[in-house]
This record gives sequence, C-alpha cells and structure tokens, in this order.
Amino acid sequence: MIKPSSGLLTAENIIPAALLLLGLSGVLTIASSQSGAEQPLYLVMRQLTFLVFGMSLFFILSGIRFRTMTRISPLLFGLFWGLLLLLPFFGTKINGMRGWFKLGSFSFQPSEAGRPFFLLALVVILCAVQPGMKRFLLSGLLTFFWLLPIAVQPDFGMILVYAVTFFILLYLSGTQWKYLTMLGTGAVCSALFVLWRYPYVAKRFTGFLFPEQDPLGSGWHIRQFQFAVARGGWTGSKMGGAVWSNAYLPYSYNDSAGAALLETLGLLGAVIPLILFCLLLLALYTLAQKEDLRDSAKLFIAGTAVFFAVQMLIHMGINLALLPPSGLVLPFISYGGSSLAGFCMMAGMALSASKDKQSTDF
Amino acid sequence: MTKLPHFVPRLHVITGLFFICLLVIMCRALQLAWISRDSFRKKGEKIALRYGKIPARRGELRDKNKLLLAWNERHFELWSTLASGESFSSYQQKVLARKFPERKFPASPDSRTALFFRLTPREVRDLEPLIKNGFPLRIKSKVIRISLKHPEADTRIGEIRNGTGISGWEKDYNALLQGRDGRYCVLLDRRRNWIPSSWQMLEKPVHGQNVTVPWALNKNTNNGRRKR
Repeated sequence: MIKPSSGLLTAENIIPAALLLLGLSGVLTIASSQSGAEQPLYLVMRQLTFLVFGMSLFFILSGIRFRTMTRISPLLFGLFWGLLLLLPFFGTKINGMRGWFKLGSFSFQPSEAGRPFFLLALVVILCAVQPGMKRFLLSGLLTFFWLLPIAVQPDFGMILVYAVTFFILLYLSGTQWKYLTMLGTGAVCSALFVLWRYPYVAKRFTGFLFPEQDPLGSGWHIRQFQFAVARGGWTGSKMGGAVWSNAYLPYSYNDSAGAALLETLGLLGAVIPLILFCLLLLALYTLAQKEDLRDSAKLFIAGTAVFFAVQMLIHMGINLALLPPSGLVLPFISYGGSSLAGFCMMAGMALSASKDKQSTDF
Repeated sequence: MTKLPHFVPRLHVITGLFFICLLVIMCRALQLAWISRDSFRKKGEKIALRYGKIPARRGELRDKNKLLLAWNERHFELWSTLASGESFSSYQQKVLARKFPERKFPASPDSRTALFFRLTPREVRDLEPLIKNGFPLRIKSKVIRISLKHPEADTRIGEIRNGTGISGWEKDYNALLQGRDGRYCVLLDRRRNWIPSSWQMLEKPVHGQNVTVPWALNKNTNNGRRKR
C-alpha cells in the first residue's frame, strides 16, 4: 500500500513521477504512429512541449492552497463556461465538431482544459449543501449547463465522460439511491433521444454491433482497432513498423492512441503504462482516504481519480472494440495540449488538496 | 458534521468496479493480441496485403549471325482515370492542347482503352507534373515483344500470346525463352497506395535465356520491325 506522506514511495512523489513517465510513453506512441508521416517529428516535438507545459502547471497548482482555489472556483468555472458558450460563434470546426479555438498554430479545447474547474465547482456544491433534493438539483443544474455547450459542438464522447463522473461523484458524496435512480433514468432517456436525433450516432452503434455488415463504412474503425491490436501481439512492432497506426487507424496519435500503443509496444510493453496508471490512481485513492482532510479536498481527489479512470476505461474500451467508436483521448498518452494541460492541472490541484487539512485556518 | 456520510465504503465499491472493468479490458486485449490473434491478422492482411507478379524478361531470339530476330522493348501508354461519363475540365483541355499540340485529346475519354501508345520520353517527362497536380491521367509502362519484319523470318519466328510462344521458334524454344515470374507482397494504406517500407520479394524472377537459332537470314532482303 502506498503511504500518504513518509519515505520515498509516497503518494506525493508517485503522482509527478507517474505523470511524467505516462507523458513520455505518450510521446513514444506518437513517434511510432507518425514514423511514416512527411514530418515524423512534428507532433512529437509539440507533445514534448505540451508535456513540459503541463508539468509546469502541475507544480504551480500543487503549490497553491486548495482553499484559495475553492474560493475562486465560481470565477474559474464561469471563465471556462464563457469560453464554451463562445465556441459556436468563434470556434473552429475540426472533424465535424466545433470544439476548438484556433490560436495561431495551436488549438485550444475548453472542454478538455476546463475539466478541473468544473470538478472544483461541483465539489464545492456537493460539500456546501446537505445531502437531499436541493443538493441534487444544484449539482445537476451545474452539470447540465456545463454540458449544454458541449452538446452543441457536438461532443458526445466527452459528455459521456462528464456524465459518468458526475454520477460517481454523486454516489461518493452520499446521495440517496432514489436520486441516483432518477439520474440514471434521465441518462438512458437522453441517450435514446441522441440515438434518434443523430442518425450518425445510431450508425456507429450498428457498425459496432455488426462490423462485418459494413466493413468499409460504419464497421471500418472497429475492425482497424482489432487488426492493430492483433498485429502488436505480445511484443509489438519494431520502431517504425507500426503499419496499422501509420496507415489505417483513424487519428492514431490521438483518438486511437490505445490501439496504437498496443500495436507499438505489444501486450508486454503496454503493461508499463498500465502499471503507471494504476499507481497514479492508487496514489490518489490513498490520498482521498486521509482522515484529517476536509470533505471538499477528499471529494476533489476522488473526483480526479474518477475522471482519469473513466476516461481511460472508455478510451481503452473503444480501442479494444468493446464500445462504439467515439473521439476520446487517452489521458497523458494521446496527443493534445488542452487535454494534457487539463489532466496535469487536475493532478496538481489534487496534490494541493491533499494538504488541505481540517485544522488549517482560512 | 460531514456531508460525505458513506464516502470511504463507497470509494471502495468504485475502486472494486474499476478493477473489474480493468480486468475485462485486459481479457479483451489478451483475446485480440494472443488467443484470436491469427484470425484477426489474416482478416487485416486480406484488406491490406497485395500480392503481385514481377514479370520475367523473355529471352532474345537471334539467327546464326547474331542478328536480332525477336526482342523486348519497354513502351509507355497514356490512360485516363476518369469515370465513365466524366470529361476533362476546360482548363485541363487547354493545358493538354498547349503542351501536346501534336496529340488530340478526346474531351470524354474511354477509361478502358489507352489514349495514346508509345509516348516519347519527352512526353513522359512533360506529363508527370500534370499527373502530380491532379490531372486524371495515368502512365502505364508495358514491355512489348518486337520481332523482325521479314518475309523469310515472319513465319519462322512465330507469335506469343500472354507471354507464351504459340507458334514458330517462339513456341519451340518457349521453355528457354520464357523464364519464371517472380512474386512480391506489399501493404497498402487506406487509399490503396503502397507503404514503401513494407515491400517484400517473395520469389525472385528467373529471366528467360537468349536463344540462337540454327538458321541465318538472307541479309540482302529488305527488313523492318513489327510489334506483337
């Protein structure tokens, strides 16, 4: 078991080390998936820059008092919500989704980078109000208004991650089962509405269930994921030999990073990032159980772990053809500055929260 | 008073669920990368692997005096890649007419037959940048068997069809002349382009041997050449 704060193998030491090593695994995966590209090092160098930027954010935020952050949480939440609201007017459309602001040669995705501030605002509400209808409604409205502009983009994969995390946080915060059942029913109805309203989403489901029926159309992605993982086998491809990642996997450096990782490193190689991920989650799990922490700090640390775990599980589920395809990044591994910054900030804030003891004065 | 009454036990439940999901994912990865690996690899390669033939060069035929009777020449043909019913744009027509004034490009070419045979090296050089810029054209190279046109030699030399001699010396010496084709395999990307690093020679071609026939052509007779 990881000890919260003694010796070298402490949660506080493991978190930055795991973040850095996971980030470097991501750089390796991107390098392999881009070995056949015209400029093979272009994305690699950018991702390394993002990693340095993300780690800097991690260390800066881990040094800021968690209470200061909770105090300004409405401001931070409002700032990113405002950016999400501006996306339909000033955003750039990439792959049919208007989810980015273009800043020179960089793109910025508020729904990825704003994740920690949504979590912080949600935690503040869940810990400020007694369990009951009022808390359920307030937290539900906050999540609904946050997800509304994301649905307009539309980014249903991201909505799924937020919705599952919200549900688990409600559960962890002691919400009664009747409210959770109501929420679950609402989620199922919303999913059915999306399937009816957006035929392409329904098509992805049929492509997922029967990939052989339309192998070059809706079943294409599912089959490529399977072939890429099968090609990787136990030991993976030699460097530059990841054919499927280079030629067939859609966005192998990003949405298909899990399959690209398995093709490049194989099952044995992929164990290393998996262990790092488990260590990271275990460290957060240990910190969340520190008895002397304030409730908001505990819930924020748990929420961070939940966000990481849910996104990792859904991404790997998609990349192993267990779930219908959707554009979701693999935390710390996939290419993208906004997501890496968002995850690093969340980890930094969680580390800061682990120092927020009940006895500390405001 | 705490507002998180069941935090720790519920955290254990979520952790347990996470490990169950992780186990499912690991089992699935094992299935794809180990248990059913061969089946998925074969399915994948069916899409991506392309086998091809490396034609063996047919040997030359010579008479007793070493005069060439039948030999091979590489020719370049121009084909259109337009689908049936499509035609060259007016801009493309203008460029083609300006660059190749001696050739007449049809506005709506038939993609099943060659537009022009025997392109000159200069024409090949001029066409390449146009094709790179998206002109719906394709240059195909073809090895053609040429034989000497001569009233005495014609019937003796004979003919070939699909690379095999069917009459005359071409048939008699076919076993020596023909050689054996080689084979290669290559992976194609989603746009069906070759992935250069994946090219593999499966079998080297064995080129045909040159044959000297026990006969000599009367040199005084007028001779030319013909294509087969």
